[in-house]
Amino acid sequence: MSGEAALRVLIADDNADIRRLVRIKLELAGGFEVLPDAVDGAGAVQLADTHLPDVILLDLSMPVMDGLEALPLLRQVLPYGRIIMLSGFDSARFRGRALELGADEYVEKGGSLDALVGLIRELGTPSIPPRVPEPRQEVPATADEVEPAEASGAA
Amino acid sequence: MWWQVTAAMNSVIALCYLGISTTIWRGLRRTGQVRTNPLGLATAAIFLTCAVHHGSHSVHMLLPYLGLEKHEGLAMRTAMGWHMGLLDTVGAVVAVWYLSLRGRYGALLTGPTLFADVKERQRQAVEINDDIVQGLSTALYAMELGDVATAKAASERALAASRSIINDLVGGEHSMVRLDAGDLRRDVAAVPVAAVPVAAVPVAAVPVGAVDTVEPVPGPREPGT
Repeated sequence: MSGEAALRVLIADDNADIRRLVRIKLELAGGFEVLPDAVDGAGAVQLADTHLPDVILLDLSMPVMDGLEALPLLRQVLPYGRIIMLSGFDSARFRGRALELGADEYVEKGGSLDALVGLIRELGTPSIPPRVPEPRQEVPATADEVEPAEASGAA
Repeated sequence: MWWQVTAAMNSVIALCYLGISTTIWRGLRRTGQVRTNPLGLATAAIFLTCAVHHGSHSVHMLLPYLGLEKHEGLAMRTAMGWHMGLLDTVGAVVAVWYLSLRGRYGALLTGPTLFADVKERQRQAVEINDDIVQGLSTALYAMELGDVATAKAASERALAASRSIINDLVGGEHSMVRLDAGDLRRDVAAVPVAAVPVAAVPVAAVPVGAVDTVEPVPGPREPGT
């Protein structure tokens, strides 16, 4: 990875062990800058807005705001960022819904960490050139407060 | 002539609705759902009020025979033309049909219970995910990183959580559900782990002990902090 900027990764998971182990794996693999991690969906949105990571690893079941609630908000603050759902739930049940809400990939927990690192590298080095975040509005605290897209253009 | 038809049909409707209401009410009482099933209770109540309403039409038209409310009763008889007779006849047919379906009223009683079951299953799924799947995933990740201590701790925690959840499902120590001899008989013997093909065996890419060489990770923020 010499000569290339490190991929900036945000881990959002309420399980401290998972966060710690994935962080260790990424740091050992090299080529990643692991940002301060989030313990719930709301924290993930806040940190994503602050740090603009290249890749977000997002858990599905979390307190305060779950992964599916957070996805549309993350897409608002990070239109070009890559979001990988990393969940304990069966992908057959939730993958489609997650992709529909803005995730780029869905990975079941417990698989190979090497494969996960490979996927992060693959998705995090997109063909899309420089990531220029669009001007954005204030991030609402919860999904319920998001204005419908058409509402902003109505007036 | 039409007022007699409407009086008769309204009587049929009132009796059917009364029967439907009574059947639902008895079901609610028998299953102890009078307080917990508002939909069932409201259905019984609406049929009861409709029974009173249709019954009152018939009574109103018959009262002049007893010398009571002659003016109002006769006026009502006059108002009941063929169209009302036809509508009330259709209504009576539907009422009899609904009453004949009383064997299926159980759906009104089990519907909310089924909904509660779904919510309970969702709660159990989240619990299994949080306590078991996350624990086993942690163990696998830790093994891949050579972190045996974390793998062992996570496995033990997942095992304890599994026992607790299974205990809840089969009924705990003080459960009213009694387990008798033979209730735990399996269809087939447990398959040894070595005999199960593993789709993706985690590869220990990092030698044991490598974790110790990693720079300390900033302390994770725990939920609620």
